[in-house]
Amino acid sequence: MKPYLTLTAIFSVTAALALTMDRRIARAGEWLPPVAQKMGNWTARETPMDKNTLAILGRPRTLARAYANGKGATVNMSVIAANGLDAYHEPAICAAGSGFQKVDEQTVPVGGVGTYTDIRMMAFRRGPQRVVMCYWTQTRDGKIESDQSFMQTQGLDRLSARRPTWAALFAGRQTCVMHVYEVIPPADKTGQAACRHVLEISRGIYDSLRRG
Amino acid sequence: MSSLTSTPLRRPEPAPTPDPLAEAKSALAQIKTRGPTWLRAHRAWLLPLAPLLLALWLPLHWCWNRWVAPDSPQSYQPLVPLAAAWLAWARRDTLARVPRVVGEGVFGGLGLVFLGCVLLLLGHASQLVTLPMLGAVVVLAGTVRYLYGRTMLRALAVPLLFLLLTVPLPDRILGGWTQSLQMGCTQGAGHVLSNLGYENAVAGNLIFLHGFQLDVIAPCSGVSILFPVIVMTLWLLLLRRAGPVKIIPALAIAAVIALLMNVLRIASIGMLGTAHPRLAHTLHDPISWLWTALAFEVSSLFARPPKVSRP
Repeated sequence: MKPYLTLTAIFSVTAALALTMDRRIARAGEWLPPVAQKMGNWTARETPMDKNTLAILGRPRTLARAYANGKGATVNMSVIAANGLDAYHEPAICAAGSGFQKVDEQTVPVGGVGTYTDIRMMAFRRGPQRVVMCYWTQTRDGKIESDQSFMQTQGLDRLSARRPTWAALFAGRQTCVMHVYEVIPPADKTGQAACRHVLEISRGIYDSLRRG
Repeated sequence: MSSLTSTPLRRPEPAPTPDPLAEAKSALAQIKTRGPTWLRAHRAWLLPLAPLLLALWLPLHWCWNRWVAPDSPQSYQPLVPLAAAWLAWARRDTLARVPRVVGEGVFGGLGLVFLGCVLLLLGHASQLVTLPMLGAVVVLAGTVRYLYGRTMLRALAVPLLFLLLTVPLPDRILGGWTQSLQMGCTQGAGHVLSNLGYENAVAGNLIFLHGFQLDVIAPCSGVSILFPVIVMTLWLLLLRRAGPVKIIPALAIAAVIALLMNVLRIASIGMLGTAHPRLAHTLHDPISWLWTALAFEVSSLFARPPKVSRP
């Protein structure tokens, strides 16, 4: 009987530690602040995510909308309250799964005096289809993560891809993950108009989260 | 003349070809008769099993989400523990002869158990599903080592190593392979269609035919056929106790067959779509099932034991 009791003790300690970690990480997904329904000329329409997408993301709390400016342009957005690593799907990897290749990337400014920061703007192409997207993560205390840490593949750098979960686990940090994108219409040859639209909505979301 | 020399020599009877169905029936019958007694004799296992299942609850939930996701390439993985158990059952005569030694070696053999628990906790902290499932297999191996000894662990090495195929691949690796196969199979299907007289243009994962466009999405990359075919082939070979010399080439052939079937699947949908686009959409799933079944059948030919013909 003694060997079984020894194993029971080891597994009980492991289970207790595991459950404590799970609780701290799940707590990180409890912050989903309100986002403005109207941003300038843009008006929102709710577009809830489908069950399959929510399952892939780990069933987090989400906010998904389509903003229209009344002139035919539509910008889609999603705010995901990250309750685990599954919520942080790097767009360049996910888009590639649908056949889209990243063709351009730059950083763009958001925020105002005292809150100025940069987020990533990417352009994707699949045949004749083009999409422009802004992607970043924002914590409750205002910290932005927008670099390509999730794409790290070499050695210790891969650990940096786990920064959000380490932050949730040890510092109790709560984070939201933002995707803001527009399918570039054929008439917008350079994509400049779509970039402006996406940036406008991204700035609105950034400000909403800072207030929330 | 002695009676010994007067008896004509006979060729020895060939060993009967193992029949998996008969083995399964025999196993079920034995489980029914001896199962309750065996469970009562080993009920002490329930004590450590309960907290272990608690620690594995969330990782199993993550695995389940992956396994039941539509078109999941790893949906075969819940069958792997059953297949591993079958491999262990096939070795029951060897296992019955192994003497039980508890707490043998340094730390009584608990090193593997601790390693498995560390992997489990790292998996919870990093939310990487691969780590806790790997930890679970290591914990199982460590528990066998601790409770039954080194010799028993060696005797169960094949089923335990096979059990590693339950561990989901990291998303990055799976995504990379899926994308590569997607592009490769699209190119391959384009070549097949060209050789069959169907003019086409390939752009990424799109094949443009006359009046029909094929979008080779991730579920059509071939990964959903490749993985289960390889696992099934490996299992059949291990059941036959085949060595590495037979296993490696057989797996390579199985992989080629699986990918070839996928390319032919895409090409056949393209050919049908050129003539009848609506029918191609309607029959997309049945065509996929047909080619998948063909991939399993052809691959298993290389893994089945040879039929011994009676003189």
